Amino acid sequence: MNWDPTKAGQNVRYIEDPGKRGITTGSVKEVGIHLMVQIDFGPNEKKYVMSQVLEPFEIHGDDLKKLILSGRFGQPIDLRRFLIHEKVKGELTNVFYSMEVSNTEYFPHQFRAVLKFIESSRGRLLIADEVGLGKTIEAIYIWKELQARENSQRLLVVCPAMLQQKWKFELKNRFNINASIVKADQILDKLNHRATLSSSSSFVFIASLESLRPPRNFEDESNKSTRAQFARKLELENSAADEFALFDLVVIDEAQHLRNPGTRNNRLGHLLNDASHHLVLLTATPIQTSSENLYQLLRLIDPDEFYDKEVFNKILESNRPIVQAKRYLWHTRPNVESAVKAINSALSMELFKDDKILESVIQQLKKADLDSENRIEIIRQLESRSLLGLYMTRLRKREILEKTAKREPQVLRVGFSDAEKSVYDQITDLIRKQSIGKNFAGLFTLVLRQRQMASSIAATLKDWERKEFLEEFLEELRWELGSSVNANQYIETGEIKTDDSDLQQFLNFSLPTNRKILEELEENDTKFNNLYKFIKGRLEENSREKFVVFSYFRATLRYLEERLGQANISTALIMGGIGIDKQEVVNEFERKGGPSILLSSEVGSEGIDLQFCRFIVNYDLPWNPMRVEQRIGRLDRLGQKAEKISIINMVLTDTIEDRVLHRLYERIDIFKESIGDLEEILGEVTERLMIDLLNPKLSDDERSNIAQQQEDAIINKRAEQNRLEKEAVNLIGFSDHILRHVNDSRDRQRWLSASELIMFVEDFFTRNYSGTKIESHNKFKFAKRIGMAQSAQVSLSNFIDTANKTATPTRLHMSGSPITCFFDPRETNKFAQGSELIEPTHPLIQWIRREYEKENQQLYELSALRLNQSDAPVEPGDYVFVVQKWSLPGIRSEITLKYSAAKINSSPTLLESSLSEQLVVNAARFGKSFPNAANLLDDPEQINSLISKCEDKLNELFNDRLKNFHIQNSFQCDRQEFSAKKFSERKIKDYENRIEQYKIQDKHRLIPMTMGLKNKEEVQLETKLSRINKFRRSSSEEFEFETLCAGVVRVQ
Amino acid sequence: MNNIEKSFINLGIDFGTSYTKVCYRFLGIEESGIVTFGGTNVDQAIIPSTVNLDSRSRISIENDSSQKIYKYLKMDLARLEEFDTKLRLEISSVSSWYLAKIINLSRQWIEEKEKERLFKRQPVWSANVGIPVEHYDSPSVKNFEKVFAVAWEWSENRNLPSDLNEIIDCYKQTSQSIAGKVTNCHPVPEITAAIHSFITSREAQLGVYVFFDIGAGSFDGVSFNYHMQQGSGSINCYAGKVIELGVEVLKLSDRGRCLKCLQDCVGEVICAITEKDPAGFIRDQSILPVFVGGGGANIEWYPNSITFTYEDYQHKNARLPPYELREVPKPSDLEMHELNNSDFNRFSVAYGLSIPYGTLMETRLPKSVEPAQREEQPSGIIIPSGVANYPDKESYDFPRG
Repeated sequence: MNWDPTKAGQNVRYIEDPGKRGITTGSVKEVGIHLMVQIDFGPNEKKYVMSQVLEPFEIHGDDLKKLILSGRFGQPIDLRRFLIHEKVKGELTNVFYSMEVSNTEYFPHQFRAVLKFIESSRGRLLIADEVGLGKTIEAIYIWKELQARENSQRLLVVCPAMLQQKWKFELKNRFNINASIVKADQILDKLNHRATLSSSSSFVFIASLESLRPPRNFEDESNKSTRAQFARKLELENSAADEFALFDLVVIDEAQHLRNPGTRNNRLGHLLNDASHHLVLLTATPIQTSSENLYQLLRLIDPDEFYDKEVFNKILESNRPIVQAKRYLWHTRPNVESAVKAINSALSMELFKDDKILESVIQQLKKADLDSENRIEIIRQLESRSLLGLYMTRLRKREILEKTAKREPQVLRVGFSDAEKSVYDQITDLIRKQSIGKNFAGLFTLVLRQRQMASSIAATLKDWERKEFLEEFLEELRWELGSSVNANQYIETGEIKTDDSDLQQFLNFSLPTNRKILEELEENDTKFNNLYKFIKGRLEENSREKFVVFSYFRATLRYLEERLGQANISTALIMGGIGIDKQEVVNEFERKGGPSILLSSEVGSEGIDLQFCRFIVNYDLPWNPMRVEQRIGRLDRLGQKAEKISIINMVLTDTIEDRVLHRLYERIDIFKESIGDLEEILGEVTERLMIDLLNPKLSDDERSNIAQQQEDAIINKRAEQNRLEKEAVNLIGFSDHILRHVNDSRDRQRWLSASELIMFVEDFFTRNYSGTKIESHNKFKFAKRIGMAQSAQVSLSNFIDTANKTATPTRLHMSGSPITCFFDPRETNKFAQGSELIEPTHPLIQWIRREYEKENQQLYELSALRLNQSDAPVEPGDYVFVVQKWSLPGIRSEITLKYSAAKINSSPTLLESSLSEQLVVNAARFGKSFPNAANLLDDPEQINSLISKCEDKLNELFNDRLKNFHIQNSFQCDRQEFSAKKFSERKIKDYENRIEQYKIQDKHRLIPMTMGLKNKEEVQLETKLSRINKFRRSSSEEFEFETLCAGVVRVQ
Repeated sequence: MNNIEKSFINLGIDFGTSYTKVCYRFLGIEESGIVTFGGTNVDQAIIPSTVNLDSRSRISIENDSSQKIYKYLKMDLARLEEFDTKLRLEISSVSSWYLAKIINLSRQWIEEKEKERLFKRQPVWSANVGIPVEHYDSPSVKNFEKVFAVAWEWSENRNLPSDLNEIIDCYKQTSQSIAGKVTNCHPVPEITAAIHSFITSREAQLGVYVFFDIGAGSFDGVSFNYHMQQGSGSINCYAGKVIELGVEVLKLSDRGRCLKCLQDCVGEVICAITEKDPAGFIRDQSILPVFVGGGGANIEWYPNSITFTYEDYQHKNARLPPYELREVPKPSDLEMHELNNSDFNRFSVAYGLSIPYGTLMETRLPKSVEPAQREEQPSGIIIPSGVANYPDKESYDFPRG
């Protein structure tokens, strides 16, 4: 092609690598017979290139077909760049931004909640998975999605006080997120300053439920307490619907504590819901006593939709046939006829009357041959109509764990020696006498003392002599009270104060004892001797065996450490308050040749995983079954490889409490299987039982009878619980297809991987800002040492100052020496200080993204690649492919990448869409360059015609999707409009009633504020309706499908 | 012909005193490769720089029943004036024949190895041949240019004569017929190519560097500053020095004397930094990166002797940062074919030469970087007008156009 290289400002590209582009500077020189022309490729990127290998071009001047005819095929990097670039933008609906971002094992079910959340237009979800399935992780995945998709910066986690540390630990260790444990005043302070501190307004806070609970009269402005001010802030500045919400996401853990209407916890839930853009509730027990529980939790999630019990019941009833229809279709041999029947039955209900989606599903079922893809799509459409499925997700262990370890309980019954029995009885007698006239906290303290005796007499007596005893004891008590169901009620009413002054009085007795008795008790400690014998026996069989020995009491653990040490058995110890790095202790314990025994308390083992171990010893039995499950749960969790877990329970046959507890636990099979939702109910009963047993007026027989009655009640309760659970499954539905979708997404790389991010960064710097150094890390595959060229640092710095809104701090733009950057968050625990985690929200990625957007001619749409057959899902041959981006804006917008491919041969056929996707994704991942493709490929006209066919196919699919999308969108708009109006009407009525009441009660001070709230509600309704209308009106110009890129893959 | 039907390939020929190594580069896609000549290890991928003459006056590069062996052709070309007319002609002719043979073999090998890339395309060849810089900047460069031009012309003809007399006659004819013709085979200073073998890496950071190339015959050193000049990379050479202390020389010499000789050379190259560093770049560096390349880089004595120079010559007192010895990394755009990445050392100069002459970075040579000259920067390539007036005749200069 003739062109004038001396003319400055021309866009030129390499003929053989057209993705590489620059601008002529006008400078040339002759070398030999060739002319060299200077090209400006970007900042610091001027160099001379032989003129004959370049050609001028116009940006957007060539269409795909012209490029193919002229043989201008780009490189594999051109395809990769397109796909990664689209992913990094954070807009794609069918990509999991949270996948592979944590230091946790991959479990597909954990993405079910994420998927529901992305697919829902509500931004609210109740995650009600059973204990041990990783609800915490799921909630943090949702946060990662929001960070990547919406640049979310303000997360508040609300949980019971005892779980705060666990949250902090999970956030830091699994996701490298630094969170602060705060109280209401600190949140208030941050929120008050957020208008003025735009860039630092980001936060990840953890606060206890107890510390945020609003006082009853918080509306009264004369109440200046921080919690009242905080509650008022939530009430007055609630604009959850828009981006000015106080929080981007609020996560409430153990949300069952909020379910009782009229309580301050419940009020807090509503206030937080109103003030947060997104809300996630976590609970393992959505239905505890009746479906009323679930209703109340769903009301917290969406008060518009679930505005009264009657509607809720209607929803339950109407939902049933939808769930049935899904079941019929998911069956190995789908029963279309029954599914249609079920859908028709749903259509006859008021809530689904004239439902266009269901009608369209019936049409699809009638005409479609039900291949797996069709089936999934139809089930997905049904799922979108599931009235509860939109708001909640519930999984049980048995639904997802294909193979769980079998629990094998074993009892070591221990009788007291005479000396032990005498001391125990003496102290028990004392304790029982003390119980007369005590309130709950007092009784609780005594129960604790009693249990300590049963744990280890020798250790207890030694312990009570120590000065620090009181302090530790109080700490253990506070922890126990914090999780006690009963205690919570008392704490709420202020009856129990968890500070020293109130409790000290209950500890004011000590036991007359002397050194000699102590020594004797220690020497002839029958319980310890039994433990020692058991462990020694096992170690003789296998010297590498590992045991976790649990005790509730620190004194017992210290005592066991000492005694086992004396017996030459190595131990490691984890318990609260000893300021150690728990993970380090666990790592040491896990090491081959490390200690044989881990001594731990429940507090100590919080947040750690011990799946590598299969022996658990309960040195003492907790009186709350939740603790039993927590202990076993450390071992019996996702990732346990052993076929069975041995649970050894040490039971003192001479104490009624041990006998009662053990019998109860055996009857409810707690040692054999997870009891799921029963735990908490049981806790309430056993707590009460332990207190009842303290009554000094009862004989041992009477104690036994009381225990028997309680046990029977519990067993009945369990039967009732099972019934409720079964019902709940029918109500909420099942979701195997979602798990399949998650697994497919993973297989098809519908997530942003560490290697893609590295490629994104490296590729950018191979084209811009030379002098930037990216060295591989000698230890970690997904870590790089990055030293940015000065010019790049200046540009990044400008970006951070002016455009960057991300919360992630960086030193890349100011550091004189290279910084270690990790791209794989799964390596978080290996991060050295000063290193950075590069993820989509990191300023470096955001900056590169913007640079690409500024210079969009850097993206080149046609590429040719070679792919080994071992990496290809198709047989050898040449294939063409097209990648399209579909944008469907609506109340639940959809932005997706779609793929179509076809084999080039005499009778070309289009591949089915999943195969096309797999081919393109694998080509981008593993493809090598295909030089001289223009000459090696046969017929450019045929390639063009096939590309047109692929495009036509995608266009056809787009039109089908658009039709359904319109129906779904207008349906959802109608529904949300209806709910919003209804909700608003009720709320306004409520405010009007309140005002009337205040007038009658002469509380005129409160009237202006309530008037304000009423006005605000009216304005909010307007805002909601205008938002809904905006989505309803989404015009056809806004629906787009655009061919992003295309190319040829030679599979060989 | 549309340019997509042409493939521009540049050969980089490292015409060493003892061995010759060749790389090639597809200019349209900026990818290089090593010509292994079918070898599967590094020894088979390098060709001795010798020509054998048999009893029937036939010459070849195969080493069998030789009556005479032409060794050190490169050295002889540099001092051609020292020989009589007949011998001058003989050395020039044999050298042209040798290079034409290497070019032919390389082309054949590339055409076979890269047949898919060249399918339905016509290769358009060019070449850079490395010569020591002191010869480049002396009248002897004319000898090289003439010999290279004849070799290039001959390489077009795949059937080279093998009779010595015929070759000499041919040389006379060809050199006359191509006089004044522009050729596509250029002499380039080896050390310039060597610097480019790692400076063209996108990861090369601005700053002051030292590079030592340890060949079979010689030990070359250069210190230089890599900086940005109006948006493009630019190099200021502070000092360059060549001594005959390559691996084969070391084998035959007294190590004690060799150490002194080598450290004098290292000291001279490195101390020039303190005199000539115009903007004080070195003050910002906590270390001085010293790249060590060539076949001798793996012989411990060399890197150790270089390292000890810092203390032995008290470079700390000269405010020089400690040296950090580094291997020259294999460039990402180089295909090693059957060879290991660790063999790259031997090919660093050939790789640098495969980058076409004229696209190399602007380079200022030691004599243009005077101690007094501070911020002033040149605007184009400096082409010296005459013979460099170095205190040491072995200093470097830049290629002529």
